Amino acid sequence: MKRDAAKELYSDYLTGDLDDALKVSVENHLAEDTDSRNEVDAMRRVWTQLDAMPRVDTPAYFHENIMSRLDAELAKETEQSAARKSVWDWRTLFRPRQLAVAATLLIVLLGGVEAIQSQHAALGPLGTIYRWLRPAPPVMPQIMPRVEWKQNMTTGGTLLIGVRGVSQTQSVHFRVQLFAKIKEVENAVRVVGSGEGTLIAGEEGIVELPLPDKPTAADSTLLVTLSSTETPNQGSVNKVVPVSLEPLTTDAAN
Amino acid sequence: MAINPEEQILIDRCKKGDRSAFDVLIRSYEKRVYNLAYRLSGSYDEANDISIDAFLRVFQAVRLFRGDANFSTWLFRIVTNVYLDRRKRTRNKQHLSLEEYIELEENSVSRQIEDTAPTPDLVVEGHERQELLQKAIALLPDYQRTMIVLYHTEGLSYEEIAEVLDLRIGTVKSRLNRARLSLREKLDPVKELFP
Repeated sequence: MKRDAAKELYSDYLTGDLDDALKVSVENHLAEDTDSRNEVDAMRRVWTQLDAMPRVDTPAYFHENIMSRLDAELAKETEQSAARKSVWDWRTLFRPRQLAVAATLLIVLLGGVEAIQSQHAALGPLGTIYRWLRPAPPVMPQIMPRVEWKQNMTTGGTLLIGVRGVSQTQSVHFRVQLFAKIKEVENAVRVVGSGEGTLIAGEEGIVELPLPDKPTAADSTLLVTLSSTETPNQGSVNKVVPVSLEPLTTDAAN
Repeated sequence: MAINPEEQILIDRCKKGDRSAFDVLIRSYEKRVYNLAYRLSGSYDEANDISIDAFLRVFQAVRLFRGDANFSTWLFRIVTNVYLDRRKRTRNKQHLSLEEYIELEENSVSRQIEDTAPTPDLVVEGHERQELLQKAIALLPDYQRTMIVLYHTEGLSYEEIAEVLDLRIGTVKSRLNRARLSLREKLDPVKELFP
């Protein structure tokens, strides 16, 4: 048996836990190797001393110190528990469970309110939150533009477009554009006049377009574009209203 | 494994937060815990701190004690863990002492420092020998020291040590053998004191 292999067995040899074959092998090795024998003897002596190590006494008031520390810890826990109950801690909102509950509530809220979207104004504060998160598309006012042609004394005249109607939820601007059809190119038009105004309650917004000739439905197209840019999270919203140029009333000549 | 019925009652009461039951329960273990902590740390002050921390941890965790092992085994595991946790925290703050060794896994290389201590023949046998033994134990790596202390000074069986340290019995046996060999090497310079 080699020395390193024998070393692994020293403890079991000293406790008598080796089977007979291994015990004989170790003893043969020890009989041949003086250093190993000395090592085992030294190990046995140290072992004896280890087993004889005396017990040390606990310090004075050891037990009392443990119990007083325990009492202090219990008092601290009670105090912290009371503090947690009495003071709302905003950090609790960010614990995983609270976040999950909040997310679930939000989903339910949005889903439920989606179903009654048209009634969200009646939801009070919840409706405000909903409108902020999911703004309803703006309802553009219904307009019936008034169009008149004012013939000049000499040549040309002025096309007058009056627009009336006010949105309840947002400020609405309107833009009037008169397009002349280009005969040579199918579906092609060019702008021959434009003007802008704002819809104001109780008033008619008027745009005047000076033109060389009285436009007709055959050669021109008149569009009024309503636009709102004040709806949160919605961007610009437009509504295009074609205006008939027939029959076009003609005012008295200037 | 069987727990003393009276002890089981105390443990059950402790699980409900009964302070007075804890008071009674720990009295029978205080000295063993303190000794284990002392043999592991080699310091009376540290043994005091380790013991108190361990008992507080026991009170906080006793409701998790399932009774699969002896209460003492479970308690010793907590003491050992408290000691090892503290060692981890203070490892970087350690200073070298004259008798310190640089631990290289299983082997150790002693620093070449002149020994100005009294020569062996002047050392009075008895408690001086025990002091040397304690110092040699303190030079062992943590895992070897824990093995030596649990087996030799606390008298735990291989099976109990395996439970305390969550190791297989074969591992406990082989590590304990190496720990004894290592301890003998460290005591080799003063072997005359261990006839």
